[in-house]
Amino acid sequence: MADANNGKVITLVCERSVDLQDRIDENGCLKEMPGVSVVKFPCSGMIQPLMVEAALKAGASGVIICGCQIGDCYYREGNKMIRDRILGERPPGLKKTVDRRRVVGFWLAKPQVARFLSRAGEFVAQLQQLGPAETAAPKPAPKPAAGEKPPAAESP
Amino acid sequence: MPDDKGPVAKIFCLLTVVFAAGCLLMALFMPWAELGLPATPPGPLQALAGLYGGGQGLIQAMVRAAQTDKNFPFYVYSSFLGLAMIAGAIALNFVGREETEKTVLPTKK
Amino acid sequence: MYTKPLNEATLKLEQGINALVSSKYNPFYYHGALPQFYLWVLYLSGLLLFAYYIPTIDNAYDSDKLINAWTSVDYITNHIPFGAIIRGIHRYAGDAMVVTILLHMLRVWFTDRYRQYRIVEWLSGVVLLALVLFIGQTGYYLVWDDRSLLLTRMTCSALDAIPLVGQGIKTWFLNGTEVTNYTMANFLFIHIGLSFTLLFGLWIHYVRMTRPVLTPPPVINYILFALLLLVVAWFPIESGKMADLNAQPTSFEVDWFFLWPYWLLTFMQPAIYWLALAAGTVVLCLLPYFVRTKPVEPAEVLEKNCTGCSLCARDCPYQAIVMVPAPVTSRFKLLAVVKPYRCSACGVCVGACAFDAIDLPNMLDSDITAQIKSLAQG
Repeated sequence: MADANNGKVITLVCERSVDLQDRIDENGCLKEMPGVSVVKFPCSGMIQPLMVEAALKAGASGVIICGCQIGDCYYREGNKMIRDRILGERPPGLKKTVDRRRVVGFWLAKPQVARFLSRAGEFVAQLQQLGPAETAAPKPAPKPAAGEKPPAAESP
Repeated sequence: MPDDKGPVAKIFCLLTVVFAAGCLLMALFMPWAELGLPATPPGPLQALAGLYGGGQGLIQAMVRAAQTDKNFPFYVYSSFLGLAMIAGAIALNFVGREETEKTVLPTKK
Repeated sequence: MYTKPLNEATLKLEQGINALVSSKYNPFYYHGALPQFYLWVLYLSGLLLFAYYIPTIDNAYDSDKLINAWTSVDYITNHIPFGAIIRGIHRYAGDAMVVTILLHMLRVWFTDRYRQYRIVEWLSGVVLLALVLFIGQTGYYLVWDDRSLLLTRMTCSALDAIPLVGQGIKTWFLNGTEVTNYTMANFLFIHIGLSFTLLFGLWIHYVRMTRPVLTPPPVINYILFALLLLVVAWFPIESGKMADLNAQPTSFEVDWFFLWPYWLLTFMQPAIYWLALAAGTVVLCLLPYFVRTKPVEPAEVLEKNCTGCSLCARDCPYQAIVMVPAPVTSRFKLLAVVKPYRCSACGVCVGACAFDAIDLPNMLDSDITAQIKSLAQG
């Protein structure tokens, strides 16, 4: 799905949400959609908005955040928290410069794999219409705002 | 049942409200009958007379049952209040339900 | 694990209900708040009944002016407007509370949410369930019909079988050595007094939960209350005959939510009965320890990065992070400290921290960010 002028799509997923264990290859990419790679968390509440920013800045064309169905969370509130964070209703939020069209949240239960794949497919198609991300073609010195990002996370 | 608030949901919602109103009206018939109020309502309520006439047979049946069990009227109120609350809940569900499967971020102005 | 298929079944069921009523109104997402709702209903309806209830057993003379517990219940049921409804609501709300508690219990068990950092909730829950069952039974004594008398006598003979303390408990239970007016006063006190100790138990049940869900949304409240109203109307409650201390009632109608212990007593030796109850309680309490568990690796604070903003403490779902005064060498006023035995290692605090000051030891956020970057570039 990822073509030359489109970067990867990063999926940040709660390991108790959609069960993607059998759907990813050894590189962490979805077998059905090689342009979509998956990073697992113990709970979607652990996802930092900074991680979303880091993914987009490193050239990802979009970020999917996937947690359990809203109302259900093994650890009680994690999915609501990351949802509210990316919506800017709970600190810390996303920086203003983040392209809001390139971030999406899905809230699905463990067995809803097919649902996830179709939703992810829709999102990838939308991203392709948007074209390459601005952040992928770096403007001169895209320096992070002072104090926002400590150096520890800068070294890949 | 429909997932989004499409026309079917709207019609269903409307029907529920009508049903809830009917249940409340039924509950109001009971004290009217029990208090022995006139069969033809006064002036401005005349418009409701037809409706009331339609309910009259039912009211008479209820009063007969009430004569054998003193608590019967209370159980009738209870039933209709319960049904009205269920109808109300279904209506509220259609008004207040939220699509929570997907979160799209509002784009900045 | 043995609960895995049950967990999947629960998720499937909830997914279906979500499609029907949307997740905002899914009663399974308020499973703890459902019995809490019925508890408020019980308090209010009980208050109304209390206004008219007379806790005496007098029936020495047969007269029209006889006043005792049974006649006061009869007066409530047959002479006060809506009295029968209020009584019915009180009875069936009790049953509904037991049903919703069992639902709550099964859900936390099926979805594996009852162990480790949730142990206080599980143990206090077992105690609360036992309390609720006992309070419900005392409600059946208060009606003072022939069933009440039989249940009282069965309780006494069961207590007799307990060595050492049995006699003492029996004297406390009867408020004397035999059934008198003081016995009824005691039953009423146990029923109401213990009901309010439920609030203390609930405080312990909730205390480690940040933002506990105590109230279902109105849509669910409507349904919960409407179900009560319908059951009350369609299955009216009637008392049995007035209790007569000289009579020997031998059979009774079993309310399966509250009176099953008495059903057990009909065929068990009292000693075996008490052992069975004790064993059942112990098994429930030990249930969390039967499962082999990976120990939680609690979150750790990086003191040099912590700015004392307290976002992590606010967001922690288990009250596992406290803010303490920062050491004098720090530029900031407060410092986050993790209470490891409360921590679930869910990482919500990591998500709340914009300064890389808190980490799960086996999953550093710098590593995750690096992984995300390399994936994004690759």
